[in-house]
Amino acid sequence: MTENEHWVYVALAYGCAFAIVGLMVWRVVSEHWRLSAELKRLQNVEGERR
Amino acid sequence: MGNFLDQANPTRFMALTDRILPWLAAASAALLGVGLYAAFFLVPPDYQQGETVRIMYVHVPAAWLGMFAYVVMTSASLGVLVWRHPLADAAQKTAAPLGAGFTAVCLITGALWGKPMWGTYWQWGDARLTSYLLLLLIYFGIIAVRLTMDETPRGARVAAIMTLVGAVDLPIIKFSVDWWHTLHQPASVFRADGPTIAPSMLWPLLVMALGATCLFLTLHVMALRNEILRRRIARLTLRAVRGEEDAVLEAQL
Repeated sequence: MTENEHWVYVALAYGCAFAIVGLMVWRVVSEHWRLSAELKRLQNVEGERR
Repeated sequence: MGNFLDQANPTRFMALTDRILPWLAAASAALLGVGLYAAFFLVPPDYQQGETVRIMYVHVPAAWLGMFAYVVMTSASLGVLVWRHPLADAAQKTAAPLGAGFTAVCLITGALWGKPMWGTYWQWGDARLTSYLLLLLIYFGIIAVRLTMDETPRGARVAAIMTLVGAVDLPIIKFSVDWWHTLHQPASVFRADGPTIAPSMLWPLLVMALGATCLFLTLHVMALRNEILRRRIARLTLRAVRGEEDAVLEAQL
């Protein structure tokens, strides 16, 4: 097996790692944006009611 | 301990992490940046493994974090069962998907490292490989319990007990390479007689491990904050619904 073929495994390993970690980061950050907006909306509704 | 638990309430946690989070995220980015640069441009190819040794810089930190996340969950589970602390419950819940993610990274990168070095992606008879796969299955089990019994004290207790039972897998993973003859190599960093890796290859590994730990802590703190926000939203929604019900009752009277 040549060195070039070894690089394929290295590239695949880093690609998979970045994809999974990227997915975790995206999930946490997008959830934060969604929840912050929802909380703000509810607090505004409660403020108007008072 | 009681004083510490009193201090660890959600409002104080949000205020504290507001200040800490940017520094933690910056430390993750800086350490992972330096570590990746060193892994690709400064570390020489291994005399036996050639270029595939570079997989070590993502595989080993992921392996450590898969187990570290479980240690965090085990400690949090004790907090759930002994003190019934709300933050402990949230910490246990939010660490599970992150731990499962890092465990999956470890298993996939390990298989991709194994193929060119061992001639196979997977070996069922290998105790290290199968005990680590078991860790991923335990994570999936705990996540499934959380998804089906969420937001109930019973669900939190069941997940905490499952976590404590599953913790028995951690020493099996750690010592599997000593207890059985495995295809996987024995420990080469945390050894009684010191690391067996050359210093030029060791320091980038430690930098990557530190960076990955900071990344895990950043994501865990953010996920914990999300959980606190989710519970506040649930409380406000409940209050709004009750307010509407009261208004309807008053109108009927």
